[in-house]
Amino acid sequence: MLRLDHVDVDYDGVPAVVDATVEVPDGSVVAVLGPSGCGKSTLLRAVAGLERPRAGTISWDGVDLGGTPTHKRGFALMFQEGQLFGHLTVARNVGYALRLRRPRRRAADAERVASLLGLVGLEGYADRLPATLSGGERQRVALARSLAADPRLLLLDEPLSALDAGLRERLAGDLHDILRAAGTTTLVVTHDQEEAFALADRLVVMRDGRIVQQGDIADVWARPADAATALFLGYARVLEGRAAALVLDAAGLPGAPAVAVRRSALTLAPTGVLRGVVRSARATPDHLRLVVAVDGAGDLDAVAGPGTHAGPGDEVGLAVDAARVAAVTAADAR
Amino acid sequence: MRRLATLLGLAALPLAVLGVFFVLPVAGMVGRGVWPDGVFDPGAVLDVLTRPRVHRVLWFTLWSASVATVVSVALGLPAAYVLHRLRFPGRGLVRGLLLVPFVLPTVVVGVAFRQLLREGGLLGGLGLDGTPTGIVCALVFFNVAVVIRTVGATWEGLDRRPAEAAAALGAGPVTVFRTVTLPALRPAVVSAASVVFLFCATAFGVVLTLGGSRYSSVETEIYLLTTELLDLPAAAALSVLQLVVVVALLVVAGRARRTPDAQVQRSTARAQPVRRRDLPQVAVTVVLLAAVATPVVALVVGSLRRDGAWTLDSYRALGGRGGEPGDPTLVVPVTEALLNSLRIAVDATWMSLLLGGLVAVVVTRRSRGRAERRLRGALDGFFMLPLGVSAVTLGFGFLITLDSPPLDLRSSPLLVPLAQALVALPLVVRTLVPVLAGLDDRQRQAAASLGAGPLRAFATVDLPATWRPLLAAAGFAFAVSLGEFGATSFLVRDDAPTMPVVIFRLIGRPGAGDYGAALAASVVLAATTALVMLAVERLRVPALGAW
Repeated sequence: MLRLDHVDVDYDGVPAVVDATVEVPDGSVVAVLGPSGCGKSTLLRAVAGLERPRAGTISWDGVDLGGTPTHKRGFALMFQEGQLFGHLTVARNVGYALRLRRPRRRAADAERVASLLGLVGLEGYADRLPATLSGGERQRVALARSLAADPRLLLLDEPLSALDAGLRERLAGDLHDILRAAGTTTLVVTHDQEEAFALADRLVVMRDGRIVQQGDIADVWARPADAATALFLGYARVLEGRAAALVLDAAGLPGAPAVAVRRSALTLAPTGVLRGVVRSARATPDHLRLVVAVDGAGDLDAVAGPGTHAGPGDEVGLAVDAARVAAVTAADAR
Repeated sequence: MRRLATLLGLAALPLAVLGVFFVLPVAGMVGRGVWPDGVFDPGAVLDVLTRPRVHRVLWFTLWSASVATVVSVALGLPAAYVLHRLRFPGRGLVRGLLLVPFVLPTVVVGVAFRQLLREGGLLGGLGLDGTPTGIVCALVFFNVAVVIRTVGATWEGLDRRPAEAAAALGAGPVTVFRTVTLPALRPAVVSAASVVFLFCATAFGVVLTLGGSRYSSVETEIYLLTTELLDLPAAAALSVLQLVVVVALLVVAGRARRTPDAQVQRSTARAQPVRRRDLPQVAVTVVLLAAVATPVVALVVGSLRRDGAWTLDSYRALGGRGGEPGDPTLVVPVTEALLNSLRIAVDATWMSLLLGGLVAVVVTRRSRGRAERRLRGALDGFFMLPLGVSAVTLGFGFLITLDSPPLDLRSSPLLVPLAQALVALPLVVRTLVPVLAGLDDRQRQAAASLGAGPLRAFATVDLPATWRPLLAAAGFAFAVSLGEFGATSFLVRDDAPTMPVVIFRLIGRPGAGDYGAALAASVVLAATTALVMLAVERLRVPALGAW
């Protein structure tokens, strides 16, 4: 189990990570989620031994890693752009860590490379050079290369960010399955909440170098610690005061200082508790997206089925889906 | 702490060598001037700077270097465009040919220009023999290659799209060049110009052979003061002045190229076929090619003619000692001098590669924290110092400081190669640094995170990328060593001279036979260096592109 205990990391004299305490239990996949520049990559590099913490300890199974150089940690780090060795074939890239072992077991190594290439869906690519691969294929090779090291811990730095949207979604699913199949303990950092949700069991949310919230992914999702976290997790708006009270009441939830609302939390319903006047309407393939001026709550987002006809000026009723709103206890940070 | 220890461990050998064989001799030379007869007397040194002759020397150095720099840039820019942005048959050959002058031994260039400009020479009618114009022409001949290579490498990697965007917004070709292309090239142009200025201002062999004692630059003046007038305080004063100016220039040049090295985001643009509007640039390139070829042709022709007839006599004379019997000028045949030169060059090459390789690794490792970065920056600057110190000062410093135990090395066969290795060191470092610095550090980190130790990571990431530049650097060092004259002229033993020394001795003698032998020997030496350089060019390393 990886444990970070009150870790501070400075980057060029400027604090990049402040007082980080995180645990990564064996076999779990933990995602560190935060906007760019929040210090999450520095945190990952500190775990890999590429940055030295100014204070605090990073330990594995209770053993302090402070004096252990990167190559002796047994943590494989996979970079955003893969960082394949351009002069080596796919098979030799994947087999790199195996060739570092003494004594060599050539036959077994070749078999392992082949099975890893199978695992990432690249059979038949063994003799290609990295330059001839697409971005997604390169990331798969990088993943296979990292897994070949049989790492105690796999570190992924924005593993899918360099890829285009469609590929990212597909590869995220594959990566999830591969990590579960290999049973590798994994720490992944990303700024993309969808990537985090697709891969991880646990979520650590970072902002400005500090950890603002961590826990099971569903818990964090359902109870964002503050407004900024809620917005970063993909909630469309955070309502406060009277607006919050109205929405929470309509959803049948207990009162809270603020409430985070997803775009699709309010739906058009003739019998809805909330009443308002449509300000604008825009059609998308899935929904009719509305902005409704709700009595006593101001402008709110709402959706209606694609067949609905609601235009600006219409008076409508809105229902609240309790699963798509989250009470926020700390209303500040905005 | 451990990182700093590793850094200093790697730097230890180059530091020690540079300390003993560079700082000590130069300091000894300067000290000899400032402490004449053991008494501190800076007044004598300052007095030197008020002499009218010194003023003339300084002024000549300054303006000849400035004019040569401006002309080199003016001719080099169009040629860089033609050779790096356009596509035509024989482009590689033309590139190679234009690079050759840069590595031709200075003495050879001097002899070639003399042969070209002297009475009865190919351009003898112009009356340029022994004039400042002749010297400037020779300096340009040398340094145009630096501009072409430095600017060309950047130009080649320049993204075409901003220029296309400007054109689409209605900018004509000239406006596009002025507003988009030139600003992007400016760091390369500035760094090329500063290096050219540096080379021109410290040129030795060319000025000595062409200027005689009438036109003297700081560098040749130091030589004359040291060897002929034995005026050490004056020589020391000029050495210090030169060191200060050159270091200042290096700092300014370093500031000017503070933009990221083009190496990192290089995307070689596809070369275009030659179009009509490229004609002016092509014309300049053709003229340049002719101008570069003329002295070489004059040299070759001169070596093949004697008394108005074609003959190989001059080459036959290379096997003998030339001159009158009993004349002590030439102790060995030229052929033996060539063997000496080659042997010394091999030693100088491995020495400068060893030192330069270590230095390049030390200065390109990613720094953690400001203190480490400063330390690396300081080391980087320190190892560039040989660029700024007169080779003459270095050579003479060797003589006066390495003459007593425990450093009595005057008779060591490694002394000459060592001095030449130090002269070549900056070139080797500058060839390797951009390549090593251009490597993504995360490649090394990826190797480390897969379990590779530092050595293994080096073998995986650094070596595959650097073997070509290493070979190229070896070629440069070899060529520099073959042509090195300033330091060598002091250190070489009379019975084991190198080619440039022999050539200089030969042209100093009156006989027509000796002059012919000097021409022939120059051709042989030039051919040897040119062969090495064409081999380097085949490696396609954008060297010289990172000053």
